[in-house]
Amino acid sequence: MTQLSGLDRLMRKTMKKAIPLSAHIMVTDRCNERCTHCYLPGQSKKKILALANYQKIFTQLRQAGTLLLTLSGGEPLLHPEFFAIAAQARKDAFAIRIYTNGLLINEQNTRKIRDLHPIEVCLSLYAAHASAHDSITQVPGSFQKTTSAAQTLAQAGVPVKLKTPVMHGNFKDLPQIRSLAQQIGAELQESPYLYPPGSNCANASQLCLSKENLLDFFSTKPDSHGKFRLQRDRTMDVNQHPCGAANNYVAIGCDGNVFPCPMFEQPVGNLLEESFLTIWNQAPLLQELRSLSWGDIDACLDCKLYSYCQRCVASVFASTGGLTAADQQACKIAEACAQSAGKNV
Amino acid sequence: MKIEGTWILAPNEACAHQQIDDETVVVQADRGTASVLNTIGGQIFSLCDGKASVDEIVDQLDLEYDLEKSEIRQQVEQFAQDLMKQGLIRRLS
Ligand SMILES: C[S@@+](CC[C@H](N)C(=O)[O-])C[C@H]1O[C@@H](n2cnc3c(N)ncnc32)[C@H](O)[C@@H]1O
Ligand code: SF4
Ligand code: SF4
Repeated sequence: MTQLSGLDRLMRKTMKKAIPLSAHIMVTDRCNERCTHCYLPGQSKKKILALANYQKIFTQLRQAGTLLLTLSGGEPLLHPEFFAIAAQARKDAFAIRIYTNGLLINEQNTRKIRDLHPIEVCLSLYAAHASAHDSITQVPGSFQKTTSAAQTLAQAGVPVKLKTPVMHGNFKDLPQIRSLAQQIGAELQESPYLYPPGSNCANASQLCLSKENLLDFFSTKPDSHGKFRLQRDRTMDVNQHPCGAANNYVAIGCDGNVFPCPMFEQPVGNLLEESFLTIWNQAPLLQELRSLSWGDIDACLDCKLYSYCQRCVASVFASTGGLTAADQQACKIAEACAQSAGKNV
Repeated sequence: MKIEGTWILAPNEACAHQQIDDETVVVQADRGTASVLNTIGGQIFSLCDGKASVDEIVDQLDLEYDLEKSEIRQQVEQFAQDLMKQGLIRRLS
């Protein structure tokens, strides 16, 4: 028996064999915030799947090899059957993770969440002050609710992670956000990478950090590089898939549409019409993504920034309509990360 | 701790698991760890389903493996002890 170390191998194995180890489920597209950076296209009148649908879908995902379900949205707690769906997932032996803005979390449902034994609950925190956070969510009072939800959950022993997309509007607040996370007893995940925002946002480029701010970000707190740090000094394996989408990762929309990942707005089938494995094995876009390796991405071959790169194929698709270009935002972030690490690239 | 034949064992409440090829991965949400069990380990883990007794698990494996029953029992007890120590399974009754 091996502890944790076996998981790296499992990640590689599931990537190689196209086993959807992790599925991101957007149980609803409704939301009680209107975040300025949100990549989602906004609320629709889509009919949302019910518990009975999920019971069938979960059976199919188990057969396909899924272990982790991320329950997200929109705001997942707005689904009227959220807790029944989460309980079903646990009954079916999935590990679950919840992505929420925390507005609907109170003491009573904190107990329900704790009893579900999620591997983590991720709450989105955009600033250390109400005015800055609320101006991003566009909901007055949201800072108060989100931070108190994080506190209540952490005190109940639930593993809490705060997620902070680092943007122009909250960059200066980072040191205070870090101390707030510490006070709450939550892990903090900061990332300056922004997926192409959806309809709530007027101008995406206004949100992203400037080169100067990126350098500042990477140099002020070297141990906060998270994903970036982990990837340092890897050498490019031209046979490796560039990302997990369609390889060991998949997303399911609130109406049963299947996507390569939550950010990749291109449905490849619907679970009310076809079985999961039929879509997973046969959808042309999934097959195309699965056939791609780093060696196919000419723009990235021999790139010295590769170690620091977080290339996102969904962003590439959104900006170019193809799958094989470089990701300009990833290049910019990788360059700043490498530079702050003293690499001459 | 001696595992008795009448005991009924089940996965711990905080555990999640999945079989991937010939391996079983068990995630323990409360400890933030994951373990990968080999074929026989995974099989014993999945037989600890909250229904079968340890004796019944031994009987089941006896049908499948060409080993002395006493040896199978010893392996099951040893493995169940190991899984309990790691918090992957618990005694239901
Ligand atoms: C889409 S939300 C869904 C769950 C929940 N409503 C929430 O806000 O946490 C999941 C996460 O994606 C992040 N996110 C949204 N739009 C993003 C973007 N354009 N770039 C990077 N992260 C984004 C949110 O801040 C949140 O942490
Ligand atoms: S980031 Fe989450 S809370 Fe904000 S608008 Fe998007 S789905 Fe809603
Ligand atoms: S930094 Fe840019 S060019 Fe280099 S690997 Fe990443 S996306 Fe490709």
